Amino acid sequence: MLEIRFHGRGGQGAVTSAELLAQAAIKEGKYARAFPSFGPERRGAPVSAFCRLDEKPINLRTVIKNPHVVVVLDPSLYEVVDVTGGLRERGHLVINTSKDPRAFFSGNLGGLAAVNASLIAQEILKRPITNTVMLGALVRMLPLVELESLAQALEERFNEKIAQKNIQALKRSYQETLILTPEDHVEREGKGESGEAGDARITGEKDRDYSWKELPPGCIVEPGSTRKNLTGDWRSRYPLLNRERCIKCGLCWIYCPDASLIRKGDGFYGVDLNYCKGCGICARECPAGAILMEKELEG
Amino acid sequence: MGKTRGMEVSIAAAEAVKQADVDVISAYPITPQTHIVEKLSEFVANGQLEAEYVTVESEHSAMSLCIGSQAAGARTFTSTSSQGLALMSELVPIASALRLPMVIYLVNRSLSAPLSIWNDHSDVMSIRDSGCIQLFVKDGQEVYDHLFIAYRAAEKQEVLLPVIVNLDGFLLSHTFEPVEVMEEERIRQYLPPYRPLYTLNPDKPITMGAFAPPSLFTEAKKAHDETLKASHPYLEKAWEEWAVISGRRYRPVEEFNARGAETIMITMGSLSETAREGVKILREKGQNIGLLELRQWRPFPQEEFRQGVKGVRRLVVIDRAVSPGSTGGPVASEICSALYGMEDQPSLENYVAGLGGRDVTVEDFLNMAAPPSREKKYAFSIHGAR
Repeated sequence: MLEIRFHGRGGQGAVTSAELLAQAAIKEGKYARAFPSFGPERRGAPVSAFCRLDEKPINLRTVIKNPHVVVVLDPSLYEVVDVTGGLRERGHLVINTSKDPRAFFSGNLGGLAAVNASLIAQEILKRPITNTVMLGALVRMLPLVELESLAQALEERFNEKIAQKNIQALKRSYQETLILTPEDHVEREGKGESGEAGDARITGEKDRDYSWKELPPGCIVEPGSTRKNLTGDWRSRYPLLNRERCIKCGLCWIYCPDASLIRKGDGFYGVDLNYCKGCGICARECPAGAILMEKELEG
Repeated sequence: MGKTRGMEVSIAAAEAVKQADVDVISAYPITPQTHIVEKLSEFVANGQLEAEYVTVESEHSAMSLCIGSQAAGARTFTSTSSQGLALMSELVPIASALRLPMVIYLVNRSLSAPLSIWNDHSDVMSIRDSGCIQLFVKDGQEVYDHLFIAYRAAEKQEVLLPVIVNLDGFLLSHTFEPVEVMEEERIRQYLPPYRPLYTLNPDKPITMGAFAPPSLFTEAKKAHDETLKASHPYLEKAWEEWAVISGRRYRPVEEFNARGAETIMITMGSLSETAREGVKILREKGQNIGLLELRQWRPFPQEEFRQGVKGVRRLVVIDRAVSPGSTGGPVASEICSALYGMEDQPSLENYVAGLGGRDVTVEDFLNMAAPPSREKKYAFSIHGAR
């Protein structure tokens, strides 16, 4: 059995990637299961999805902690999420990057596939949805399913026009993917074996310290606990404040739903990127046009 | 034969409801049931399913509406989870006592508090005594199949009881996997149009839900209890007939490597799948262990259960709900009661596992099945609680 984990942001189609791969395998008479990381979904927040593939029926309904392959849909995630956490020794990594992929190769990898999926998605789909593009890169490195089966799965799932565009993106990505193997990689000392990743809400990594005896009656939560919940990693855009234009009116500060704008001593405002989700309300409300929403950069 | 394709299990569930040609659907969305009712409203909106989809302001109203529509003679469906079922629960025993054979997909989720949207069986256990038929399934195919099986058995004039098909939230509802969707023709053969015994009809008025004085209430309860118990052979028959058209044979208690086993694990719902992997590993290591999967929770299949544990030395019962203040989980308590008076009773270890979405891994099953250091006739613990 082969286990795959996909990383994306809510709305980018990580779950769809996992399901398309499963559908393609099922079409070939194989067995497959795909599932999201169970829980609430928030657009923009880091999400993961999973896929199990096998030649025989699958009997597991458990979280995947140690995948053989990790696929990362969004380049802004490398800084935010430990994407290779739990990846098996000699496991495979598939990344979306515009940079030199050699920087992503660590000694433990069995292979790395890199493609500029954001560019392909923008050019063909006209949207930053990289899920099918990444599948092209995945099957280029590991022939888990035929490209044709993926195309069929796309045709079933989407209407004719969207399906054809996605098939085009899939095929282009397959062509343009760069594969690195350990032999190409000179420096063999990379990171040691990564710890377990997975969804902390389910695996309980974060809460491991509490025993039932320590929980307060009724599980009361003390005020200020969300300070620990750094929601800035949901952000795909950030507000850029222009001091030349700012008239210090404070509307951004008033309208920010997350209290992420901070009034400074000189009357100007700053942004607390630990919590700013990049919603853009400040930029919209600013009467002086002093706030611009900028895309988060890769890495 | 039908066609096997990859589907999200919730979508397969909605597809089954469509194929069963229900007349009325009323539901209120709640995680993790949502995808089922969303898909159904889409089917109705785009004309793929000719049914009334009634949007309501709560589960209490959804069940009220289902009672009304089923009483009027319509094949009726609803689905809910957790607190939604709790809100509905005022009316569930009325649906069963009025003998209204609706089918409910209960997408199992823990009851608050603390708030959890994840899976366990505390929701269904809260209505254990509501007088409905209660079944558990372990994979997407079983989810799909049991919609038809449920209506087939429920609508028999000797049965006429609601059926709750329990499927584990997220673990089943949100997983994409292969499901064989049957041909419409086969479904129509298996599930003929619903013919109610009585209906609410102004031209031929009757009263449903009348008052029962102390001189009659006991008899009404006795009749309900006898009817629920007597539904067992109709469920068996519905499974047998389904096997004829689908090739998939279901039983009230499923056995996996259970014949002649010294130790038997007992599970309900999707835990049964991972448990099988555990049993395989332990067998390879030489432990004489098997698995019983309890599919039919109500009516409790006493005879099949006793047959299944005959000659067994040790039972390991896995519950997915706590019965606070009790001596064990609800399944284990039921099983203790079922074993009472049996000769050569096995010892029983009861574990509660998988609460509020906690993963139950193959290793967990290996640990729970490991022989205890000190042999006891009965033991209970909440597995993995720190």
